[in-house]
Amino acid sequence: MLSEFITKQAKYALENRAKFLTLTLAILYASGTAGQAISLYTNKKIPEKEKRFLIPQEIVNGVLEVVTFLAIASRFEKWGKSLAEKGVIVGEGLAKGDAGFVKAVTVLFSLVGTILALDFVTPLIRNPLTILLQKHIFKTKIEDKEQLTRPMLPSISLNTNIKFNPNNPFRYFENTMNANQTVGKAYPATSFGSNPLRIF
Amino acid sequence: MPITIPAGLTKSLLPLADLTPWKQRIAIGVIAMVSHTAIDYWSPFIKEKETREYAAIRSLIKMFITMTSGVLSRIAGQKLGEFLVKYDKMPLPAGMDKAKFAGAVGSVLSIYCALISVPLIEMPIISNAVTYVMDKFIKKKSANVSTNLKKVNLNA
Repeated sequence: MLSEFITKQAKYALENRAKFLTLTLAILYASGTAGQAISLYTNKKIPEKEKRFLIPQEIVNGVLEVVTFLAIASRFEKWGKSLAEKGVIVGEGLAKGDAGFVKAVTVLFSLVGTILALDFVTPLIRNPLTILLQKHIFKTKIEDKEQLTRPMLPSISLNTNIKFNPNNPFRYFENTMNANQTVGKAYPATSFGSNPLRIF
Repeated sequence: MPITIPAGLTKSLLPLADLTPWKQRIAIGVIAMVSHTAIDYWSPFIKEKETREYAAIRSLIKMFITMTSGVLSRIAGQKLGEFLVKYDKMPLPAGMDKAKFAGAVGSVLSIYCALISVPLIEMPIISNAVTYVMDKFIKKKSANVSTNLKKVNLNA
């Protein structure tokens, strides 16, 4: 049963090499990225501040590795093969389109393309993308978490305190504001810094 | 006009045709260890030095562990594939070359080995190795620097 299943996959790998490579690459990078993100999230020794960068970086890295591999490395391989087969690149003393030479050039181009995609393009792009992801997607979550972890301290309600009389200088704002409406909550800060009272 | 590669270079280029996947993985992994670590450490996009240090150390360890587990899983998968086909444990499809089929079975089994290595090797080792290196070397070093600064201030 298992041997038949593996035989089917091996046959598919031989018949559709490019599709097999793309599929396995996506599966391997997806599983690797998920595994790394989970291990970072569950590791209590890594500070929260570092996790906020490392987890999105890992996700961005996984996606970029697949994208850059398909966009650069696969094309380099095809490009190398085509150049050697058409005789644009010829080995001295060898016939045009020599099978061994074509294979060697294909492997060389594939290797160069993979190194360029995974070792240079991916790490160069991933950090600015991680910062963008942090700013736009994780921002609200971080703010929510900060509010949840804030110590429960007595709050003071800040009211508008408008009195409705003809002499009130704020009477023109009557349509927009109601008397004694709560405009926010003030929390005493836990440390006496430059901003002792934060208003939310 | 064709580009002719000199005879000497052609001779050294031809063995690349038989370059095994695990050797390719080593070449990619060794360069990744240097490039990923350097790019993370000197990244202008990460403002805090501690985060940059974490990212760089993590990249170095991650690349080393993933390269090692990648190479081992490729070798294990390839050997297992060759063994299974050689001793007729796998049904050989009609009209298929035995050596080619053994290679393909090896590739499939390498992927299974790589998938297994994620929760068994990569997940527990990388994360714990990063915290160990950060605690033992980086934080200790910065603690020593701050202690020395205090001493200087006290003496002053």
